[in-house]
Parts: sequence; structure tokens; C-alpha cells
Amino acid sequence: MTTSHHLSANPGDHGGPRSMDGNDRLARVLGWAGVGLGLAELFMPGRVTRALGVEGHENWVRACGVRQIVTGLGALSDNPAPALKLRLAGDALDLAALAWVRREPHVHRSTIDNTMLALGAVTALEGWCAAKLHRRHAYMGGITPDYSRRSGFPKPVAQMRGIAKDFETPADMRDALPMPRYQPGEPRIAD
Amino acid sequence: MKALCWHGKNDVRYDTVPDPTIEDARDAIVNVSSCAICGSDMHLYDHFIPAMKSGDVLGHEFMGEVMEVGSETRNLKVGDRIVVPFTITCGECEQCRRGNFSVCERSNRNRALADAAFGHAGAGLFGYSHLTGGYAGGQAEYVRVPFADHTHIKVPDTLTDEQVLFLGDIFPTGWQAVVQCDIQPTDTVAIWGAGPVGQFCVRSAIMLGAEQIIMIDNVPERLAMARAGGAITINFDDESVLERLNELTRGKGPEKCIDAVGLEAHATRSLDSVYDRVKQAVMLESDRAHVLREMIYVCRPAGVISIPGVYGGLVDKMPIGALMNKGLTVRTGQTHVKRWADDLLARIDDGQIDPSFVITHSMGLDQGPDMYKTFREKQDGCIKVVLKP
Repeated sequence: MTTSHHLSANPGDHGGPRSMDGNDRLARVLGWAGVGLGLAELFMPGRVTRALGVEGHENWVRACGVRQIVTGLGALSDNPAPALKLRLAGDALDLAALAWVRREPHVHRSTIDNTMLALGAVTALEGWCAAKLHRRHAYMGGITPDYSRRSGFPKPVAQMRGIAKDFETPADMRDALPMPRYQPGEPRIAD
Repeated sequence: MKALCWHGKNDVRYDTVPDPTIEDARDAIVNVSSCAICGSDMHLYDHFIPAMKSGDVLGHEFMGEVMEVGSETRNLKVGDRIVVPFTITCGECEQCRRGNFSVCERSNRNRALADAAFGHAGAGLFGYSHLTGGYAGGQAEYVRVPFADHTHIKVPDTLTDEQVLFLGDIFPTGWQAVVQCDIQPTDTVAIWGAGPVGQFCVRSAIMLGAEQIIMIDNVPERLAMARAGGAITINFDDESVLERLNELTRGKGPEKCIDAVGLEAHATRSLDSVYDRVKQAVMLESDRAHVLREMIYVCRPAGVISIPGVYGGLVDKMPIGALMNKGLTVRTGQTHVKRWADDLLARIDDGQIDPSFVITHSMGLDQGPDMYKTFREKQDGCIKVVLKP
């Protein structure tokens, strides 16, 4: 065989209709952002707590990091909607926690305010994206098409059973099976 | 020409790409009249098959009219109407002479890559990664068919595209899966996966005379189609597969089990499925093997496990103890399409079966990207998509 410029990876115009829409791409961005943020929280919790002025809560930040990584990976999967909903719930908890610690006198309120603002925006994006993708992945909306007449056979199934009895299984697919072959008169399940 | 091209996970595009040309004396160029999206294309769409490159033309189920032939393609002529098998075969190597066409020794032009991945390479396939030769696929207006003097099935004008298109893959795939079980009139055949290949497994098992056929899935309309073809159905969301199979086989289990699912098993409520999902997500495992595990567990001792479903890499937690102690026979492989095609064509022509029953969507090729999504999500009752370039 010769090599080919028609080996795929074709040059050409790739600007036509595509299966991946804006919601899919947004889910990817959110997923990777979650993984990145999660890694930062997991491995650099001290920086996070210092920035917020909540030193001493590093384990709590690490736990948030693990959650971010798990839900971020989920958002990168073939059905990101459930993971995005989990991220939504996690973000709501984070917002509530930030609102709670904001009342403490020693915290950096301006950093917390900016964090809450950014988190609020991301939460809204996740909610919007999860709703759109949930609709696409939700199975059929309860409607089941009727394929009960699609047998593919010209006659009732009972009459088609064994229609290809003239076919002989090739020796290489028949021999050396441990189970004995059928002998006429052998009882069947229905007997 | 226009074609459906892979650009990454879940990203299929309707692109303009260069027209194919004759590159070898045994080539032909086919003007595609119909092509289909196969369940195994979903493994590419979800990027579970390695060695794809952005811009690869997809598709391995297609047919059309020969519009150009190479100088040594003597048994084909311009104007012939052909279905193209998804396995590219030379017809001359040792494996082809034995009828093992899906492991043709000459058609995979990326042998080194495939040898590294699998030990020894299988045949070249259309539109199915660079592991299988990196050949441009058939979801396109035109396709170059290598070894075209052997890689074709001539079909009569009296049959429609919809009746013969599936001779290129899913019908012989279902047929081979059942044939390699060596069906006996007393057999119970359990089939996992009511997608297109599973549907053809049901019909093949009926035609070959199995006594009882059981389909396992959880998609209602697919189960309904399987029942229409003669299967008893088990919805694994509603009942225990093990208990129901034992009930239907007087506690002995089915002697013939077929995996028509492959590497993306979707069992939602089993612990091992969750385990597979997590390991797959973090790239510690490439294939989800719930169906294989369940088949090995429920199969009758001395039974046969037949695997037409596509697997691409590695699985773990395989119950090798059950497989060994029960003395099960495992038969698998890509389909030797040319081995079965003439016989199946004769059966279609004879009116024994009309494979078009499985088509639920027929669209223009430009709708392909949307139809990948629809098929992937099983929306709109989608079971089989045919595209018209």
C-alpha cells in the first residue's frame, strides 16, 4: 500500500456544522477550572486562607479542593449535567460559608467580597449550563416510540425460527466446544 | 467534498476536505449513496479509541456506485453498485485464505503502531483510528477503497440501499456473534445490548433456530424492538438479571451469552459500573467491563461467551476464576464480513429478512453532527441513523 494524503487528518474547511455546541464547551471550561482550583486548594491551602484572613481552616480548604476536583472531572465526562449540579450545590455551600466568616472581625472583607462576586458569577454560569445540558441528556421526556411491529421478518417470528437451518456452522466455529451438540429427541426447556 | 470529521471528544464536524484519488492499482473510488452511524462510532465520538487525529474522516458503514477503478481492479467496473465491508481485506494473505478476513495481514498500513498496541495487527478498517490504518471513512461523498477488487459486495439494483447497507457491518456482525456460538435447537441465547448489533443478534439467533433468546437492556423502545424480533426482554433497571435468567433457564443459566455492548457499558446501579466510571475518568482503565463480568457470572458452565462489542484497551477486575472454573469458551473479534456477506445477501434477496427494520432516522449528511448527539443520547427513539451525502 502507498501512503496517502487521504490518510485522515485532512486539510480543508472545518467551519461547518458541529456536534459540540457552546454549552458543551462551557462545561469543559468549568470542569477544567474546577480541577485547577481544586488542585490549588488541595496543595496550597495556606495561601487561600491567608488571602481570606481565615488562617487555621486549611483542612476545610483541602476538603473543598477534593470536591472541586471530583466534580470538575465529572463536568469533563460525557454527561456533565449531574456533576454541574453537584458543583452548583458545592458553590452554594461555599457562598454560605463565606457569608458566615465575613462577619468575623479579623477577615479580609474586600477579598471575601471579590471572591463571593466571582463565585456568584460562576455559580450562575454552572446553573445555566447544567439546565441546558440536563434537557439534552434527559431521556426522551417520558415518550417511548412504538417499535413493537419492527420484526424485520416477513412472517410471524414463530414461522421464521430456524429459517436458516440450511446454514452450516463453519468447522472452526463449531469444533472444540465443551458442550455436546444437539441430538434429535433431546428435551427442550418447554418440555 | 463534504465529510463528517472527528475533531476531538464529542466534536464531529461537517467539513470540506480534499476529494480522494486512486493511489494504488487495486483501489476504487466510490460515490457514496448511503452511509450510517454505527454504535462503535460512539467509542470514537466519546474518544475511548486511541490514535485519532483531528480531521479524520469518520464512518465504516457505507455503499455507493463505483466511479473510478485502478488498473488491477479487474472484477469491478465503473457503475457497479457495491456495499463496502468495514474490514479492508486483500483476499490473498494466509488469514484471508482461511476466511479470517478481519485479521487480514496486509491491509493495515500502520502495522507498527497496531503491533505495539495489540502485539500483532488486525486488518485495516475505514474511519476507525490510525491503529487500524488511518483510512478515511465513508461518512463522506466519496471514499477511496483500498484492495477494492476484494473489499466489496456487489448488490443487485432490485434491493434498496436500506435493505443492503447493513451487509457492510451490523448484520454480519450480529450473525457472526451468533454463528460463533454454534446455535443448537435447545439453546438459550442471552444478549446484552439492544442497539443495532444486538437487534441483528436476535434476528440471527431466531433464523438459526435458537429455542429461547433473551435481551438485556434498559431502553424501552429498544427492548420493544427486540421483543418484536422474538426476544424475551429483561430491563436491568427493573429486575435482577441473574434471577430472571435463572428463572428462564431452570436455574442453569444461558449456555450462549453475547456482549453487543462493548466498552461503554451503562449499567447505572451496579457497584462495578461506578468503579469503572471513576477509573475511566482518571485514565486508570480504558474500557468499562460490566457486561463481560456479568456474562461470565451468569453463563452456564461449559457455555460460550461471544463478544462482537468493541473493546479498545484495558479492563480490570475480570472474574477469571469463574471463567476458568466454569470452562467457558470465549469467542470474539471484528467481523469477517466477506465470509458471511454472500449468504446474507441471498437471504435478504429471498425475503427471509429485511434489515431496514432497524432504521429510525434517515437524514442528509449535513445533519450528521446533530445525529451523532441524538444517537449518543438515545434521544427521539434513535436506534439507527442512515445519512445521505
